[in-house]
Amino acid sequence: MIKVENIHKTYHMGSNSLHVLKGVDVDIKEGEMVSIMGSSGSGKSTLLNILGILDTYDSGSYHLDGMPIGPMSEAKAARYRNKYIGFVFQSFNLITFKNALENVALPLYYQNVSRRKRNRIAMEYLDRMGLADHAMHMPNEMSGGQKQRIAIARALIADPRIILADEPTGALDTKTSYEVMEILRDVNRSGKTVIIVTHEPDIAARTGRVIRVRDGQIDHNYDIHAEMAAMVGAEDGQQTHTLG
Amino acid sequence: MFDIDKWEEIISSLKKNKFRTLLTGFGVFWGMFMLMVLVGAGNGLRNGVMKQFGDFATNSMFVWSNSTSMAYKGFPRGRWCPYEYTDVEILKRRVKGIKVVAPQMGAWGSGGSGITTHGQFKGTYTLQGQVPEYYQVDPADIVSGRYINQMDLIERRKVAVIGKRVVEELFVPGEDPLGQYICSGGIYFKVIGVSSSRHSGDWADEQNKEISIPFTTCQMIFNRGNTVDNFAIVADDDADIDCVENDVRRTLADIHSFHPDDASAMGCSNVGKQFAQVKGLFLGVNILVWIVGIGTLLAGVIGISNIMLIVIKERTQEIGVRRALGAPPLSIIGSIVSESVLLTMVSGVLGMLCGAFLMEGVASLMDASANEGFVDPTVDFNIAVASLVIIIASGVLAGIIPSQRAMAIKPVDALRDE
Repeated sequence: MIKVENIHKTYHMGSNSLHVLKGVDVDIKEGEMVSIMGSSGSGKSTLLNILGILDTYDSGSYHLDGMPIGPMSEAKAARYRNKYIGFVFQSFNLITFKNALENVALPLYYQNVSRRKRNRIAMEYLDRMGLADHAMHMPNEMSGGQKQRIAIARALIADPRIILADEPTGALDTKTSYEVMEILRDVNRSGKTVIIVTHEPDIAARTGRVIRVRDGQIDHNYDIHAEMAAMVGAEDGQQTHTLG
Repeated sequence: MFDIDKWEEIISSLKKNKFRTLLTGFGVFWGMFMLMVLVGAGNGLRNGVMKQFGDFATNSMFVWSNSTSMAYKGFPRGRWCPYEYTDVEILKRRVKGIKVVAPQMGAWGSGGSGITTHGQFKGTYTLQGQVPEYYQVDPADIVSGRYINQMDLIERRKVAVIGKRVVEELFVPGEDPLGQYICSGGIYFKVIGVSSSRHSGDWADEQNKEISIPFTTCQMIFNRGNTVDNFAIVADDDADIDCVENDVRRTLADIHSFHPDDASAMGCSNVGKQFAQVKGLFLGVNILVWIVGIGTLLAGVIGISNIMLIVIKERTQEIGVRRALGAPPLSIIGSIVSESVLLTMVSGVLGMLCGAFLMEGVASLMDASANEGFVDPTVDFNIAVASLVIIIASGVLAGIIPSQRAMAIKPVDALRDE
């Protein structure tokens, strides 16, 4: 589904340049649930942005569902994002002056789906998230967990192949984080490829595979279990969810 | 184009910052308002001056005889040779582009005392010998009766057309002056018509105090032989009034033996030239009005453009989210331009309507006193439509630069903006 080969990315800030990605290879199969881990500044967010066609890369190649993703017009990039990728963000990024239903329906608006039809579909997705009774609420009237569920519904509504989640639990407490992760696992079980960027090992441990980014490169020797074992209180039963 | 969601969004975005929207809109409102008021005022001023002209033939001139300043053909300088009635036919024949030549004679310096009486009333009025053609030079409304005609001229009838002020002063209210006699310089004239000036202001007052008698009658009564005081000459509409003036001068020089280059031998008041100057003045006023008006409007539009830049700055993250969700660039540009056009159009149209209504109000208040130098200060429908086009164009302009700025932000940068 996603095939990234030897991607390089350098940011130029005035006279300084920052080599963020130094030859990254990623291969993600359809239906996988993968987390990308790494400390702040490791380049994991940059990688996610490139995967989400939000950012460009300098060299290498990127194939999404077999299609080469290279330099392209913003209109084409927008169409690809709309069709293939659903985004979930750390800070939810709901549009503040729109209610839950309108937020969820937004991707369909850009597909020129009629108002009535997209509101009906949005209602179905809200219902799946258990938030049908919050359809008319504005984002500032909802809790973090509710907002993230709205955001997930929004990411799903256009029926994309891939869900990209950038620190989806970063702004949530532990209990809500696990609830959100459970929803994302359900999404994965329904057949969608899910990629989660996180720096929390317990979140990463709830995904099928962990890709560790260190200093702009993939750390192939990384073992999530070793890290989990090393963590204090890591044996509180969460490990049962990780892959054996 | 018509998309409920888009407009809902735009309106909610405008409503979110009511005060700012109001202030921004006010810039364009005021620009448009000022444009309308200035254009209206310019029109009023022009109409006022044009009304003073009445239906005066604008492509015209008055010429009269003066003493010569050059010796010519054995005549010394300082000679004064009055023009004659027979010159009329010669001028008409020789000068190309002449439509009307109307000889005139003032009776005041020729024995007419200026005092005119009727019964117990008296007043001082201008007594003028006129020909029927003068009606084509400076027409006045004939309120009752008729104007001087060719038979009056041939038979040298002692008849008079009197201005309405003369009627007011010499006759008791309600009395019909037609057929009655007025006495001027000891001679009785039968009143055949009452005239009312089409000019405004002082010019109208003066004309309403005029008594016109047949030109030939005037010549005879005041013992003026065949002479003429002046000629009122009207040129064809498409004739060059300067050329006509030159040809008239050359022809009169030939008839009366003064040097064709003698500038002082023929006095001339060229109405056509003066009228062209007045028209030029109003063209200048108009240009100034538009420069100032458009400038004010432009300031308002720049204000809108600036605010749109701020709006985009504030909405950077939202725009980023929209782009991540697959909003095509055109949709984002469109919503920004639409917002700017909506704001510009609502405030511009309001300004236009307020300005137009104000000027209409002023116009309707002024109707009562028609003698002002300021008449009907309203704006043409065409100008209003043109302004509307300007408003919409400036709204698009105000939105395009900010929307380009929005598109220049990469979606990832827009998302990161907190």
